[in-house]
Amino acid sequence: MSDWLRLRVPFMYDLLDHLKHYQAPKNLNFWYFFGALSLLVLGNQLLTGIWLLMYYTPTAADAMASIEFMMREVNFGWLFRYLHAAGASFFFVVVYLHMYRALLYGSYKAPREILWLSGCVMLLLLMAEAYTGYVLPWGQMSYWAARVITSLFKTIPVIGEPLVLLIQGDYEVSEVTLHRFFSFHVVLFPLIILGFVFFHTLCLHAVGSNNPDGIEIKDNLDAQGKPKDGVSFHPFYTVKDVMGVGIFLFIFLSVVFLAPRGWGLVLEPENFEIANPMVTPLHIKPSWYLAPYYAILRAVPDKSLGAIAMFASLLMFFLLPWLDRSPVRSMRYKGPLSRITLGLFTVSFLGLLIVGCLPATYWATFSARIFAILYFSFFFLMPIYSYYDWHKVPPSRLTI
Amino acid sequence: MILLLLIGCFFSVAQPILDAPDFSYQKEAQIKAGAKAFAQSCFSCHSMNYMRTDALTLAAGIKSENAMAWPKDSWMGHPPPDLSLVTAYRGVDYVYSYLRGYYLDAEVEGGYENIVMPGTQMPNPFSLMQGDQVLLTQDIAHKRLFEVLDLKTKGTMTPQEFEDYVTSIVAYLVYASDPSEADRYAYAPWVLGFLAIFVLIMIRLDLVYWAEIHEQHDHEKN
Repeated sequence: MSDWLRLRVPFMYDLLDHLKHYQAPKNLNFWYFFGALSLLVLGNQLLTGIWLLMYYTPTAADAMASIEFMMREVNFGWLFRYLHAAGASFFFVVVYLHMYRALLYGSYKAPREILWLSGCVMLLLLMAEAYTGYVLPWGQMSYWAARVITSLFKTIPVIGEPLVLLIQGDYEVSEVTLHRFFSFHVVLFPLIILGFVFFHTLCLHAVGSNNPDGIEIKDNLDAQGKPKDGVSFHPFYTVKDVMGVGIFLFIFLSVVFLAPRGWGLVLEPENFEIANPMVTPLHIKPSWYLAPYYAILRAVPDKSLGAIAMFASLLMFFLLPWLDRSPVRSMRYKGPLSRITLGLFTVSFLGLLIVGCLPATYWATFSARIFAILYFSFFFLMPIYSYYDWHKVPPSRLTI
Repeated sequence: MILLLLIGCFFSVAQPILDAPDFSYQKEAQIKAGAKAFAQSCFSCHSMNYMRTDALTLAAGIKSENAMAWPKDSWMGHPPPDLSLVTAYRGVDYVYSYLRGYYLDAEVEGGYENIVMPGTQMPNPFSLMQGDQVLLTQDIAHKRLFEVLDLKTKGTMTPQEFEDYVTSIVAYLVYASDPSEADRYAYAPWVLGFLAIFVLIMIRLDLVYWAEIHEQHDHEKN
């Protein structure tokens, strides 16, 4: 059977073979679940999305009604809708934790730069996907968030105006925009994301997984040329990942079945009101997963500079492999400076997330500025503190 | 310091503290009563469009085709909204407090002002049932409703009857905003129970598989 396949579809065969015999480090911990979990959530979004598409109507008059009718009159329509909506929030939870793992163990450092960069591109694509999807119910916050975000692209010099016109398809956000976002959300972004997922996995298999010790398992090979500290991905990590999937699904489905609006974080109250271009909501806020960047935008008094700061806050991630001048990868062997700055970065990211969801009061703006400074200093000062830190020498073999 | 910053962000505008409805344990009976009360007190102006095929709603006489169709420019451009999702976007406590928050105010057209939505266009629908309330003090910030509102004249209902009546309407509105709740709660124990058992089995399986790796590693170390 295997020879039969190998002769006819060598590419697919090698791929499956490679997946099975992929050598993963022995000591991968809790933080290594989130790659597989983001694949799971991606699958959930694609499947539930297909079902939502069967009933959704992308017009200003019928968008919300078609969703509400689906949730009431289609068998398990509510389940598909809630799985898709909560899935979006959980997608960002797992992706942020997946990225945090890279920060903890230096997975972005050479030779994994391309792996990290492809992940950063996927984060941007995921945001675009989430944002276009958020507009589709055509609620108040869908409409006004669409207006705020498209207006940000106007700040780009020269090409800004025509670009916004192209995205919106109109001089204001309108039903034409809804049609365009529908097409982006359903075809354009998912296709590109799938392509990048494939590329990301290929890159991973080329360089191999990093691990909590941040040392190369390929440096210690046995007589057969296999890494001494490696184990086959199957069955050792498939069994672990399936366990992780079970734990994740327990948490995810608890939200879907018991609190599907996720306390206003999964489905915001404001978005149950139908879009009305004549009434501006008192307080326009993005979904929680975009709130940190929105807080940075509001923290800067000038709008164009704010937009630049916001885009810069995302682009910073792309520079990480070259900002980190530490000789070791893992936080386990980095010194106190790296640990403290990562701690402050964590606090500032969560702080920005919280103030980004609050109305722009004096205190919210003031704290957003402090957090934004902390956020950027983590990146800008990295070449200094990562170089002059007191590092420990990593072991030559993995610690289990 | 960071904590203090965040606490500072949460101080907000002066408003009374909203009352929370005390829902009955007999949910279904209360929702049915609420649908009847909705048909009696709300349906003459407000539609319930997303519940066009819901059996409980139809049984109470709320039929979408009979709903009042208001022109867009009626009521000074704010015609009575559809109430299918009102508790979802306003909040349950808000709707409950709003319905009980009318008080006499001679300066307002119609004679009634509302404590949670000042300047509301909706005339007091409950003045006969509830009786008339008066505002005791202008200083309503962070006060409970019973501290600032007092019943001046009796209505056809006792205060307890009126509270039950409004609570049932709110119970029905909550149901209408998400009728899947009963289904979800019925499936949840099965889905989560299955996953709990599945996770336990997988943890055991994981330990069995990895015992070999750990043994081998210990062996190499010694």
